[in-house]
Amino acid sequence: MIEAFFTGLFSGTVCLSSCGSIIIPYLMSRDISPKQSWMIILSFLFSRYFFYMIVGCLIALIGQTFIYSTGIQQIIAGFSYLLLGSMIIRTIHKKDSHNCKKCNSTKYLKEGKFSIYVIPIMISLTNAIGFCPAVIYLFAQKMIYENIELIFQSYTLFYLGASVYFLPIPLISLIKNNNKIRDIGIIASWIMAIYLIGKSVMLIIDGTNYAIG
Amino acid sequence: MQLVKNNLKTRNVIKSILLTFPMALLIIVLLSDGNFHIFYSEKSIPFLITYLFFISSFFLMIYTGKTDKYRALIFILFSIFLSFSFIYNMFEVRDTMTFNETNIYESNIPFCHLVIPMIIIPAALTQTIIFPGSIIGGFASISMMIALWFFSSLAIGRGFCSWGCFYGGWDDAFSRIKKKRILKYLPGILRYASFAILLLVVISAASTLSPTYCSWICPFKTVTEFEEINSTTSVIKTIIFLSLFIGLVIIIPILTKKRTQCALFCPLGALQSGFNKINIFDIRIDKTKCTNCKKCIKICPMYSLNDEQLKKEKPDFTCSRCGKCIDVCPNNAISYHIRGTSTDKYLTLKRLLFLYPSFLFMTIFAGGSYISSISRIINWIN
Repeated sequence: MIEAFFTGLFSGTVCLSSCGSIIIPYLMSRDISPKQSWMIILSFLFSRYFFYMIVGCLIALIGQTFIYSTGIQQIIAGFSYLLLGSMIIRTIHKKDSHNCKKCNSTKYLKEGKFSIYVIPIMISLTNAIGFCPAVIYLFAQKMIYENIELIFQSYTLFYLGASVYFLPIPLISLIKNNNKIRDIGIIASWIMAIYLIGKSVMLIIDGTNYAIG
Repeated sequence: MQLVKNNLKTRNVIKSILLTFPMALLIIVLLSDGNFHIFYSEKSIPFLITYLFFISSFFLMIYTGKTDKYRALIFILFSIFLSFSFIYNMFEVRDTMTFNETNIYESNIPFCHLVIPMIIIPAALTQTIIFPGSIIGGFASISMMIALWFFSSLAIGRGFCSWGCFYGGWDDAFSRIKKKRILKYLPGILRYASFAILLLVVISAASTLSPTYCSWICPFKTVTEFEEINSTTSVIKTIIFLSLFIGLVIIIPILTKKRTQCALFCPLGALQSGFNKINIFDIRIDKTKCTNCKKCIKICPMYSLNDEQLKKEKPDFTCSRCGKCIDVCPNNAISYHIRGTSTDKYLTLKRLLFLYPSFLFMTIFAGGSYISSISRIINWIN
């Protein structure tokens, strides 16, 4: 079982880069305390664990062959990426700043109590639908173990190993001179949102071609 | 009165010659790679032209006290010559400006310093350098390039972008075409856009173990080499890098008179800004001399000067030490400076201490391209 943890640990850099490229700019772009940063990362990690399991179970029920072979997976993933990209743009556009006419400067708005968790949870859901390698690992475990308890134990350990790399991310909020960091985060979030929308269009076109052809 | 003036002029010339002399000796060694047979080879004339051009530029820098004017001339010609000799060589060897998978596997793609931000994490994690294809055979040149980049960055910080980078000259050239700025407004948030690109490029390169910036968005593929166009993906890539080149290197620099690609887009430039923090040289503004005319803000090509920075008495850490603001200041309020020293003493000495390493690095980077391009042009004419 401990092998699962190390497999997660060694392949976790891939998770960090695929989800990290969205979550890191998002955290940088927000006006939040270190405590809120930790909460965001924890909510992201828990929701990811939860959604991967749900998607894994759903696919096990529906049948992966059906989903993979008809282009449906690409279309669904495409639309979820489109939704995520649009939500990031909306969040950044709405909350990045407003011009204070009295003091002639740009003020950053304070975050809502719950709204800051929407994007991290959305990333988890989207990557679950987009069949992140961790979901595929869950399938692979199904082939090895028959006992459902063992499958989840192995998956949990794998997941813990892969999540280690996300834990230092909230330290970003400790960096001084936060306005520069926030500006960089906002631009990086914009670029990622545009990339996600571009990727979604490609996925939808590919999926539709596959489904028709 | 006239006699005093003439005496001062003669003294200044002698002083400039004496200060240029050590550089003249160093440049002759660097340009010839220590191999003096070059004087008897077919490259003797290109060598001599390059040598005289470099040394007279350095002399004029010392004599006139203007840095940017002569730096820019060498720097811009360097970019043009490098692209010229690179493309010429591509047509000689491959008959095209494109490369294919075979070229990648045979290590026929020369290493470029823009890939450096992307190779750090994969090299640390997997002990592999992710530059396209195998690097066997090219290892020595890559190590040499990385060592040169590292030491020049330690010595002159982001000065690398104005004294060593062989792409920066394109941006610099187009930013000098118009006399007046047409586009004046830039949203403040974009000042740090290159850092956002650096962040994403590093993460994506680490996840895909491929140099994503080079593969997808590097605008300078337009003036070097690019992937063979044989699929939808390669068409998309071509459209992306061509539009970025036309937009960021040609049109926006012409309109804004700023080095847009270098200041707002280049991930290596963002990394180099970090070296500015640990570097001994910087630029200081003497508030007692400054009349707040803001000529420096208007002319700074890297968006490193604004009202806030004037109050801080130094440019932002994104400054590339090109010397443009120093040259334009009517009251000599801006000067090269060494950290930990006073801002009002030994200004000429501090400038010289910065100019020597910077000019040497420029010679190391640019000299070879000059000689090879001039010899190609001579062959062409003959």
